[in-house]
Amino acid sequence: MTRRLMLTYLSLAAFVLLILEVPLGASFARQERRQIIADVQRDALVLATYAEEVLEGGIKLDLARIAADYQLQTSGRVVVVDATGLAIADSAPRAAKPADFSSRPEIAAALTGELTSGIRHSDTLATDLVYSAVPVASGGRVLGAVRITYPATALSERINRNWIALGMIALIVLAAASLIGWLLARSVTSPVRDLEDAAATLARGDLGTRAPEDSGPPELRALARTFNETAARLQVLMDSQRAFIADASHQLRTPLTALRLRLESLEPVDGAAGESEDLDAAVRESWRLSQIVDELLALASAESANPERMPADVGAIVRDRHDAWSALAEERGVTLRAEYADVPTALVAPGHLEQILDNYLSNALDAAPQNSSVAITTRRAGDWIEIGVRDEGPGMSDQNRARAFDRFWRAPGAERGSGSGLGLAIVQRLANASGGEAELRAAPGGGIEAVIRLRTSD
Amino acid sequence: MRVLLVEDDASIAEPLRRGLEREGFEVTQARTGAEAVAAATPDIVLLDLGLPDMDGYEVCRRIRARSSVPIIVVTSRSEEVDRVVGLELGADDYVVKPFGFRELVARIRAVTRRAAAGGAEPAVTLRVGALELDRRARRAALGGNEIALTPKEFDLLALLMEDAGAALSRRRILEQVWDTHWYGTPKTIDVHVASIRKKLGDARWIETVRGIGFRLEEPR
Repeated sequence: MTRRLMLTYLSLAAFVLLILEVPLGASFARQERRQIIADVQRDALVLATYAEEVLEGGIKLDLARIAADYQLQTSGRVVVVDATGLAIADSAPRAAKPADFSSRPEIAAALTGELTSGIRHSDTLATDLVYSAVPVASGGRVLGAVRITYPATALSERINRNWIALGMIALIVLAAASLIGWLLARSVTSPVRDLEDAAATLARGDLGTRAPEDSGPPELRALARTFNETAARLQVLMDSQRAFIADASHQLRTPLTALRLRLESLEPVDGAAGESEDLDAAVRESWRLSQIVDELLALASAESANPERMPADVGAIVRDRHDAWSALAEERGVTLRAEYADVPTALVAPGHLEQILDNYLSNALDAAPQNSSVAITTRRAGDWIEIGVRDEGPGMSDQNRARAFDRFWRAPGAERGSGSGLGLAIVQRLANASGGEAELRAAPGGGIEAVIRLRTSD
Repeated sequence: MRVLLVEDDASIAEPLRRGLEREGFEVTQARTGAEAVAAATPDIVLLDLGLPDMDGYEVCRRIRARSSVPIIVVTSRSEEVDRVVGLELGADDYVVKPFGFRELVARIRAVTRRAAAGGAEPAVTLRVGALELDRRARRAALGGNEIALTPKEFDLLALLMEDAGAALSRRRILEQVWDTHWYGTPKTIDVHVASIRKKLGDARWIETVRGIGFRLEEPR
């Protein structure tokens, strides 16, 4: 954004400079040319009065010497011709014998009594010349002509220098415009960037974040204020939802205790369990209710947690979980396999990956038939690491897999009294808190592959 | 044995009182903190932290200031547990609602047994048949051969051995061995029990009590 704003400022400044400086430079060049031509013409007229004296034969003046002196002082070449165009004085003669200048257009014009001056290209000298030719006339009769020429290089040098000076001014102005533009742009973009940072932090789940409201233009301050109000309201909403779940769970504990105590007081004194199936079942149900209350609390705290993510050795965690679960798998007649070689480290909140894998493994062992196997797989997918737990159980329909992460959802036909239906919901909250994703996929063999995707830490 | 039951909620106090009396305890009930502090010193106090008139911590502190009677705290907030037990308040044990009656009785028995033995420290060495466990060195051995246990497995085995022969509820095991912020799966315990069974070489050491939890006994 800074770049765009600067581009706008600079192109505007460049446009203004172009409009101002180009006519300025052009008018300077025109002025210079006019000036030098006028100077040359004035000198030529002065010289013509001397030449008139000589050509009329009145005074003996050394025209050649005057011409040479002139050239020495001004570097202008002076040519004086008689009425036929033959040189009688030349400050820079080309040959020993007097040259014929009648072919030069300005001299031809002067010999007809016309005064000309300007700039023309000289084929003989292969350069541009500033010239002025004036007739030497006396009493209406043209006696000859005086011409002064300068190479135009000095003039064009001066004009070029002017252009360069104008260019330098333009550069300085543009540099100043860049600096001012950059400062201005920053005063706009830095609050925008702050706002963007705050929004990104909020998106990561830190509802306590706020954007600074005291910098930048009024529109951005208003935007920051609105953003902060939204964040604050969101925080209040989330907090009250969590507080509700937590409070409700705590409030349920006392009546649940009363229920259990009364149910248990119905049991025979000698403690022989199993005499009444209904009573046993009722105690078990009250136990399950307690478990749901506990897991609701766990869910609420997983949602409120905003743990720091740290690089974790996925290979070590997978190996550790494999070791921990293989004894239980063995008891159930299931083989537990694991692939954990060559896995990069992943970003995850400490303990989360372990809990997620425990949940997946628990589900997989429930689904796995006798003499089947459960595999923990790891693979890299771009910036992600996927850790999966694959079973060879009956699997689930696409629809059910998609719903499995919902709170209290339980697979159709799941054994009654098993689990609270919150395990995968908690998994998903934990995965999200670690910046990852949890999903269930259909495994090639017909079972389920439960996957957790985490960002690599590099 | 005289039990002082400090509980204002009749829905809990009443069945608890009946159950305890059935188990042979002599129950006195206090409905407020003031009543509890004023009551004659019993053999054990069951103290609910949520009382109408007084902060449960305060009641605990006052009783403790007067006598060394064993106190079991009842709370519905597992976060409170850390502050109550062992620390400045000096409660001896705790149960988190919802608790089962058998679990409570087992705790009362364990606490009074410990108090009778004269110290709050649990036995350093536990022995069940050929199985031996040294708390201080954190070592366990079966028939003289040391068993390598993870820290959680060690704590779990110690808990089961402390009350060998009694069925321990999963809840109690979770609360004693795992911290209250752990939200693993309900199978967390099964995983560790299976691992210990494997290391003991005989699955019968730890028996699964359906619907309740686990019981440790020497296999016969």
